[in-house]
Amino acid sequence: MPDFQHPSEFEPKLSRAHLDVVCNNLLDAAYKALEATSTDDDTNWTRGVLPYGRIHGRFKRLQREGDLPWFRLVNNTLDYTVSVDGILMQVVTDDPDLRKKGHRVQKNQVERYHDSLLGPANDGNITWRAYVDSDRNPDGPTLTVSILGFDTNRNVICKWGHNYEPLVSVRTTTLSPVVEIDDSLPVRRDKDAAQKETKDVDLKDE
Amino acid sequence: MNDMTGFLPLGDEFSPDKLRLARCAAGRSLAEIGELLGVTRQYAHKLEVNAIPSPTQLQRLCEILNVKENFFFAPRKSGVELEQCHFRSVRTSTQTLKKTIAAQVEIFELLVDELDKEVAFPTVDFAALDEPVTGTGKIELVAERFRREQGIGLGPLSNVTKLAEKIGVLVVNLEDADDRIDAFSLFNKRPLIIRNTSKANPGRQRFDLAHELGHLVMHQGIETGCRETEEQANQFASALLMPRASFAAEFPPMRGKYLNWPALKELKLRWRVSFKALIYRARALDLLTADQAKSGFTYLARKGFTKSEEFDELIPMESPLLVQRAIDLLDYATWNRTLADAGLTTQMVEKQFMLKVPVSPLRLVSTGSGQS
Repeated sequence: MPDFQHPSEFEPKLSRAHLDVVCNNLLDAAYKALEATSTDDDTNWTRGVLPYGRIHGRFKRLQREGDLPWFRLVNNTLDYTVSVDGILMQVVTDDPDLRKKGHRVQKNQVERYHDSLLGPANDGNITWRAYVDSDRNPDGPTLTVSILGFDTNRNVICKWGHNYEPLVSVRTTTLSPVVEIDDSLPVRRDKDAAQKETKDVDLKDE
Repeated sequence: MNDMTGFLPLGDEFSPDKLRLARCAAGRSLAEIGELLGVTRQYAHKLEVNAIPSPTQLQRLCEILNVKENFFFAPRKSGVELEQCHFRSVRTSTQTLKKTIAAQVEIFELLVDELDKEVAFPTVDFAALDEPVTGTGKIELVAERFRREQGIGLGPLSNVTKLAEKIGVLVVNLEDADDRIDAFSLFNKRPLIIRNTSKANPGRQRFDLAHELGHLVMHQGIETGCRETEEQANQFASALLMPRASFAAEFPPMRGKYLNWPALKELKLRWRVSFKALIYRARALDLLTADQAKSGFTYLARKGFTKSEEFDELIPMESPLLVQRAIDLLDYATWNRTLADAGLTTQMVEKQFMLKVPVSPLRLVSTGSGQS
């Protein structure tokens, strides 16, 4: 079942952990964009464009900071492309199950060049896309990111939904530790204690 | 009753008050008692004033009310009055139910008195306020002082029941304390918190206990149940469970006009409180505007999260352990003596107080088998 396949099964050099970091960053940026675009003056256009732009900005920052040696922003134009463990991937804001932006599956110049380096014999090259989508819940939309892999005939051969864990779920970095309360233990009363004391006194007297 | 003569013991006086206590604890009306004894309601009433029951009637009363005969021959020590109890659900619970619960608590205190002769419970270790509290800011300080005195820092409390027991409060399950009565507390000889046993929401259970701790700390000698004192206890519970210094720093910012529910889930699981309590607290600390809090409550109501909420199953339920541990310390013979001195029956302790009692290590064996 494609739904349960992780992209790393198709691309062995792709690390699950690395992909999780990228997806978490992507969603974090998208959620922040959502905050900014929830004013009364926002339109579908601003709500669509800002997350895409902010994700681009996040990737630029990750590249600039250089903390992730396995991550690169290989194409800085509007069809920005990232490389995770050497696997190229573009971001698409669309429904992964009902894709409207068919043209976004086409490989861009960077991807084509990448493929050319691998040679024409390598027909198994997969086109990777990260689809960012919203459930449009009026009480607070939930954003999801799905990694889709397309073969040369643009058939979906891999589909994997990322399980989002907020990067910083809380504002502070140092959380107060949970207070563990010890068990209270009742103690059996020593009813003979008084008698023992009396006996000791008697012995001393003797 | 004397086994040899079949008469009531000489010298011991039948206590009509204790009969009324046992009847109230059993939730029986005078008419019911009359019917079960085969006497009129008026005579049943008279038994609770000055009449003395016949040996047969006494035996029947013991059966009906689940007590032993000597229960009726010890004078009533200190009664539990309704005014002493910090009841919560005043609107939903009936006066009769409250009386029943108060009587059961009084009987429970008899058991604790006897247990206390054999077992030393933790000493009562919290300072009750001498003066009435006024103002929300003051309650924050009271809760902070409580945390400081107990040396429990500012983090989430792993277990509120254990905290209550650690400071010498006995937490009790009463079978009849259901949704109509909610949790309540009183401080007679020893502070007691009676839990509502029907709640399946661990966050609310913890909040209830913290609320009752608030009553015990702030409302000694003050009649509670009014909106003001209940509100104060709620504020104490909020401040105790979610101290402003640490909680405010952790509360996730809004996502524009939406609450950040995934982050609130993390917060709920960390602080072990309900979503509702989180939003109330955030509103009280001005982390949310009134409109934002309202939209949060509307969202919860629309999802049907009133009595139970999403992710409650991820928070462990708490259970009182102290009284059970005290009983577990006793051997069968001592337990039997304790029970007899209190005038109670195993059935009552097991059923009404939901406690397990020691069982005899010896069992009767049939010697007749194999002789056929």
